Amino acid sequence: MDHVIETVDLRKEFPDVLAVDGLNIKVRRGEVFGFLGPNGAGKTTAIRMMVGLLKPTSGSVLIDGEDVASATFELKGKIGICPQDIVLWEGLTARENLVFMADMYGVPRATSRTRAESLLEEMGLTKKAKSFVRDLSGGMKRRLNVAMALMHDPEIVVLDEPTAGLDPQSRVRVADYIGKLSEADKTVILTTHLMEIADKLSDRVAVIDHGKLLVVDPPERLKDTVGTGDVLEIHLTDENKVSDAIGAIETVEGIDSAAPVDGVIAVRALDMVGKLQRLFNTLEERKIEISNVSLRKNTLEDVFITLTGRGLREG
Amino acid sequence: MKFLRVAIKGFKETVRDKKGLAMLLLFPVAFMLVFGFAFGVGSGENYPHQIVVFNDDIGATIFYNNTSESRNFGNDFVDLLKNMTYEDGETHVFDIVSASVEEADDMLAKRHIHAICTIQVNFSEAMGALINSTARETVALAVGGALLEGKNVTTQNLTLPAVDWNGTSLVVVEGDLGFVEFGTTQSILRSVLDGFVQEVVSITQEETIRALPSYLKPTDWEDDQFVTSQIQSVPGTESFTAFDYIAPGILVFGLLIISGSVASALAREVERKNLERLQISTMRPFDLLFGTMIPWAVIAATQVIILLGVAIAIGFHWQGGLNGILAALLIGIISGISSVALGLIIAAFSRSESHANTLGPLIWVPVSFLIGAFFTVRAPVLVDVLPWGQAIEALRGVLTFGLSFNEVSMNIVWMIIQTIVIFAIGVLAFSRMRLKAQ
Ligand SMILES: Nc1ncnc2c1ncn2[C@@H]1O[C@H](COP(=O)(O)OP(=O)(O)OP(=O)(O)O)[C@@H](O)[C@H]1O
Ligand SMILES: [Mg+2]
Repeated sequence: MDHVIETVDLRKEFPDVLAVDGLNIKVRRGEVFGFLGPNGAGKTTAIRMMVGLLKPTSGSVLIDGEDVASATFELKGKIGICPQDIVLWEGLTARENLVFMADMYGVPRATSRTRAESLLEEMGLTKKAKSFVRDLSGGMKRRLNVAMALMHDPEIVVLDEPTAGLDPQSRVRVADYIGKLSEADKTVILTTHLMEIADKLSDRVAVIDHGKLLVVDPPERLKDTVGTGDVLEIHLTDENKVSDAIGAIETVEGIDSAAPVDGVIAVRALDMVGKLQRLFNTLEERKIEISNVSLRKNTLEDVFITLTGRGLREG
Repeated sequence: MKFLRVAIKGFKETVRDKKGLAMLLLFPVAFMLVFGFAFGVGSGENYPHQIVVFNDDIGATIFYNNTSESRNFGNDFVDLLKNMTYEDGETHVFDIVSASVEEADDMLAKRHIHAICTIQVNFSEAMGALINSTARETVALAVGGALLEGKNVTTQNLTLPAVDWNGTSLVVVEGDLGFVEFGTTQSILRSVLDGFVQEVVSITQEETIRALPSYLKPTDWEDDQFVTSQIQSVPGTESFTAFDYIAPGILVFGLLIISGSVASALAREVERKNLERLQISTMRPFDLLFGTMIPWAVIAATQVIILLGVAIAIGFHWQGGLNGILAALLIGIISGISSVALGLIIAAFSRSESHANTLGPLIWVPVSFLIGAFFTVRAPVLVDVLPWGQAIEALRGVLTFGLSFNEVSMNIVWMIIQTIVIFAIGVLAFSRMRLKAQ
């Protein structure tokens, strides 16, 4: 297997937290690599080490077999990054920002001009090409921030939350563009909190938490490991009866699991529709009243929650 | 040419930031106006400075052109001080008070006089040595010139005086550092002394050439040129006001504060992580730092023109004609580059823009005093080790006293050396602190 990026026992200690803890990841050439994890899991820290902005406490990052620390021009030219924070020159126009970025990578002006036009078009910013960045909306800045990563046509594109703060249309636009990058055989590393996008775009997904790698697999396989099939969400009229209800549900044959999720009960089973009647009957017998139910397919979000739990990350 | 791209980008940002640019350019203008009206002709208040002069000079016998003459240059200098007037031709620049040493010290302590000026015992001897070395130089130049032109030179009838003096301090000025009047008085005294010495040099050159055999004289030489036997005035000081002395300091102050703007701009790039974008690109630190320097050097030149314009408009007596302005521009640009270098150092130690905004003045305010931008400092060592101090001296030379570019070239050479040192420190500090993976 041809690996473009390889992290070897990557570790980063900050004074008060171990942000990345022995990360071993191999990213294949041409794949979209979803990099998921709760807030503070260490994604951004890992990415900053991958592009050479942050020095690992120990371990190393290899790009095409070469240590990023060497920071050769050739190596730098291979990577394009869209940082999580919007980083733009506020006093320049959208187009000037793009062209300046290309200048810094030594892209000839003729190329960078046409590339800027096409990226502005892709990101829906053509009309704003001449606006100063300080006058753009947050979402427009975010899209420009993505475009900035691509001006020198890098082989590896690292996108740290490219869709944060975008409206649904813009999200689709950015997602479609990432799809195009993948078709153009770029290697893409993508972090996002939108599981739908990660699911749709990623060839493989890595989930990390507390700086440690939990799993790496294609989204389909991950969903299978959590439980094949469907999820039924049951809202009760009386939330105090949640644990009673769970006890009851678990007695029903063929149910894989039942768990409380924010006052809602998530029930997993294969072929849920066939079991619905029995399930409702059981609850009715115990005088537990249902206010609402919904049935859906198992998602990456379920994988995520199952792997990382529900607690908020604060360190 | 990535540094050019960086420079153009910097230009756009600076020019578009109208408020920041206005602040940067107008702040020193305000200083210039305040000082101009406080010390200049604008106030219409030229008054004599009270000084006590002790002339300890014992005189000396000066040999030149096969003649010898007994001279007391100390007396000449005192006469000059006595007779100097301001532009109006009536008000004297100095009011020379006679007093004993004890009385003078007492008067100085009570601020009844502004300064005590002591002409040292070997003043004439030193001037004699200066005359001798000037004469030697002049003859050597003439002979050299003639040789280069292919003339046949016989040197038997040329006598060259020996140069055997290497003393230093000629005139000592004492006063109360905390007394503004002392600053002005000392400045004027120093400039008058400079002018006096300069005049002696040019008279010597003239006299030496006159005595040369005619084939050694420059082709445009006319023997009936005016003979100055006694120094009566110092060019450029007849119309002297304190503001004439102060203005170059304010000008350099304007250039010094560029360091604050540079530091803020760079710290902003650090804080907003723009620098990280550049760090991972294929741009080299040289491109960034050199590219950053260029627009600021242009701003420095603009600053010089604006401040000089304002100063002249409110009564600065500018000497030296267009060449003076060109020299001032060059000096201004070099100081501007020193300020960029200082800005780099400040930015290297600033975590954020607001941090740089706090740290900046903590550096440039003391520096502006050290270099004597407003008031003369007693410790010339401090003034001379910093390029802005050299810049003030050089600007005073070309603009206030009408010295030629050559006469301030040492200041400029020092400035360049010091600027290179500060720039190297700045580049090193900034690259270390801000352009490395953390
Ligand atoms: N420069 C820093 N100094 C100290 N601690 C840091 C620094 N950068 C990150 N951390 C800490 O490292 C941990 C991981 O942060 P990181 O930004 O990598 O998380 P993340 O996975 O990107 O989170 P998010 O989804 O919120 O972006 C956090 O606890 C954070 O507080
Ligand atoms: Mg992050």
